[in-house]
Amino acid sequence: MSDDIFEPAQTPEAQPARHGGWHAVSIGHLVMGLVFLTFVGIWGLVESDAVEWHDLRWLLPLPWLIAGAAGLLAVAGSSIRKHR
Amino acid sequence: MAINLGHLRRSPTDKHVAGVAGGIAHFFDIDPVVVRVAFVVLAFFGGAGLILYLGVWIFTPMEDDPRVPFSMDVRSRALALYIVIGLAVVVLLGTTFGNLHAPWFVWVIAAGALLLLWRERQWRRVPYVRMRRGWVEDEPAAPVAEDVAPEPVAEPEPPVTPPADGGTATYVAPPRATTSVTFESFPLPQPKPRRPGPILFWFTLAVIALAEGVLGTIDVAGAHVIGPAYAATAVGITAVMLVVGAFWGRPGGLILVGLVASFCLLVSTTLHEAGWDGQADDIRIAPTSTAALQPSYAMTTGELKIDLRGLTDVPSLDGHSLDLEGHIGHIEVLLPAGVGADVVAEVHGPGHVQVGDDDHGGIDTTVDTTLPATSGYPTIHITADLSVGEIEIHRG
Repeated sequence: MSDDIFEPAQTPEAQPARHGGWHAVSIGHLVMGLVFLTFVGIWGLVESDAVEWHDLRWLLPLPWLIAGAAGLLAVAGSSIRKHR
Repeated sequence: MAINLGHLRRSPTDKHVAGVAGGIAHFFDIDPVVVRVAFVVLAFFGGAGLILYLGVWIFTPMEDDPRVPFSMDVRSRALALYIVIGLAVVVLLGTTFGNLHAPWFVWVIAAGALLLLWRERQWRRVPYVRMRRGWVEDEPAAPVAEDVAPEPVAEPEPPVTPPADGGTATYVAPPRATTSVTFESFPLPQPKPRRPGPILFWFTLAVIALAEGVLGTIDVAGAHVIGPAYAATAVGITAVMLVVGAFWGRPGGLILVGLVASFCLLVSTTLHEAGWDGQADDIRIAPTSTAALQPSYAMTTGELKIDLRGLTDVPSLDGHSLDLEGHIGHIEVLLPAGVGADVVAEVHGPGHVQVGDDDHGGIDTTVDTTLPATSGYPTIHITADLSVGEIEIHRG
């Protein structure tokens, strides 16, 4: 039985070093976090009468636009870093 | 990173029944307790949790053993799991909104699944090893795994060397070949690496609970806090923790919390704007004379139904105006046969308007139309206004 059959178990020492809790950006969580943040922001604007209820029609796509654009930027950023 | 359910594995270490919850928790990097609680809660909705659990159990192999009752490639396994999820969602929605209980065939499938799993238990008693057979010259046999007997291998026929002088055949023993059956442990797939840092789920729940408590205390102390503010606080905290978790820590499960809190925010805001006091209106008007018909009717939440088909003086309806208003619910007007109507119907939020065969839906829907009267019949003017819901005007 040759040794190359087995992949050696990855010991904690062999794993890449972890710097605190930082990790590569998680696009899904970033996008959804921004969607919820913008959603709450719009709710605050409506409740404080800064905008009218009928303005919701054009405000509702805003969370998805902002979060989607941020997600694309994050994807592009991590892709550029990988290829450097 | 795209999620491929075909790579989902059950957990051999974090298991109470079949390692399904542990495997899902590991796959999505969330706390297994959350998954177990979700399964139990969903089980009460028409058995959706049970269907989901059994489906994942059948189609998903253990992390250390690739055998499953239905052997299939990664893509097919992902498709099967999506079908299971779809079935569970149908049962869940049917039970929640349609008062539909799991149909009988679902339980037949579940019974079949249990039978398959029982069979799986039978053959799982034999530990899984991958066997490689081969001929190894002049080497001692490799060690054999415990509890597994090697398959007997037929000895090759010994060659007989014919005598050159036609005398008695002499047996010449062939070079001895050692038959060896080697067993290798199946190379275990490397577990999906976890994100570094602490789990943020429970911390976020604790912060939400604390914030809700503070809001409640402020409310009780005299400063009025509107109902939707509680849900908005939960959405806001979850959103911040999600953005933090995108770069630091483990935010698994927080998207679900955000979705639930957002749904609560939507519902509570709508009810708050409608001024709902917890009681649904059920206003049904069926006058027998035009004189008994008021020029306007209003409701807050619920149903407002005006049935004019019982009028005895239909011709006197001509030129009559009917103004209907409500926040959330259903407004319906039933006109006598042949009567025409000039209609302006508006649903400001999400909703639906149907005037005769004219059907419109969406957000902020306005319909300005005319139902033509039959010759000799009167025409009535109807204005209907609703925040969220459905307006229907029919001729009976």
